[in-house]
Amino acid sequence: MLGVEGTLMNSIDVVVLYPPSARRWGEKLVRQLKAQQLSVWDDRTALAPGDDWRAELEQAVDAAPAIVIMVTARQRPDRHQQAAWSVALQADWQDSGKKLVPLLMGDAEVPSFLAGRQALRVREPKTEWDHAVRELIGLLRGDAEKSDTLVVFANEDPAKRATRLGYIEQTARQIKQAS
Amino acid sequence: MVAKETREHFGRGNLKTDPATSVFINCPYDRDFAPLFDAIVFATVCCGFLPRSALESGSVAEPRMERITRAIFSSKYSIHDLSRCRGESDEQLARFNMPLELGIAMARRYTQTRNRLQHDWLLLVPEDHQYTRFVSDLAGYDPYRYDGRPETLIPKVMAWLATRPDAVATPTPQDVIALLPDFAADKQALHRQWGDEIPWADIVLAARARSPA
Repeated sequence: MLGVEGTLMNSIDVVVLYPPSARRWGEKLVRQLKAQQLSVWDDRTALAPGDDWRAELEQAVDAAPAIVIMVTARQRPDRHQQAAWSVALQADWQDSGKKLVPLLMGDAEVPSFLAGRQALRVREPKTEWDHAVRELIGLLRGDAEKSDTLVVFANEDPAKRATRLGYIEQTARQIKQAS
Repeated sequence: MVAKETREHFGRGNLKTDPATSVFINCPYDRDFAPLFDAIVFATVCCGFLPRSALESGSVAEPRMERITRAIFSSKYSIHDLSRCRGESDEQLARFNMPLELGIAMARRYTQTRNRLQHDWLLLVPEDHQYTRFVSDLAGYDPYRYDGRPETLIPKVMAWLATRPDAVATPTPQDVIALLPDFAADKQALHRQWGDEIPWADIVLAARARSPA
């Protein structure tokens, strides 16, 4: 199956998702990964006018063994980003062998759906970028080393979910008592 | 003078809920759709959100449309299923309550001045459903399509909820699908007790009781 630019869908190594606000870094990442002979798909360059965005993205994430999701602290994700995240998450659920790698820029918070994964934190992109890309490639190729300084575990406090479920239960009980 | 007793209503006064964790569910309530409705409610609770519904107020002395509008306006999120927007029965009439309520949710999005609480909505349609033929204004919005089974519906609902800004970490759809029969059985027990008038709070508590920690 051929995507735009002649990319064979079943030869994609990695899908890269990045927000418009980080376009400079996203495009740089795509270039650098391609320079390492990786076949990269991103929705900002792989689509032609009139393409069905979601269908193309679904095909790409289904085919790719890895998906890199860049998260920035600058602004809340827009609907387009959230839709892409949703597609990526469904692909991850369907294939336990697929890697979903968060690339956290600056002090970006980990979105809950990416919690519990090995991630890359790039606090100072201007000085750490090339190092980050090397470590990312290590992660993608499954040979991340213990000495990798930018690799972190993107955990979410389990109390957050427990508190939320507690709120749901408490609210429902209050309503039951009031009726 | 005797003080007038006032009944508290879900979403108001002491029963006020947090909009950022509330999801209004706009789906058919008929018996055929019940397994899918249960799947949506259960998946919503498993994802850490409080489901809201036109069913939550029961039969109170307030027009139904006002109760629905109030529930949508006090929920940051809503889920809308257009399955029943098709010709049914001998008269081939479609039900249009769901598009009406979807319209309220869409308009709500544009009345929010604070971005953090801006309303967001999910549209669900069965595969091959030709909704754009009778509500062409929805063309261009990407609905989530499913094949009519809870097993394909749940991952889509969960993936949408899990990627909202107010989400918490969720279980996997496989975990939720495995627990759905238990919730469905509990709801059946409630149905035997209450008939078609199961209190909404009891449905939510049953879903919460079966949700993974």
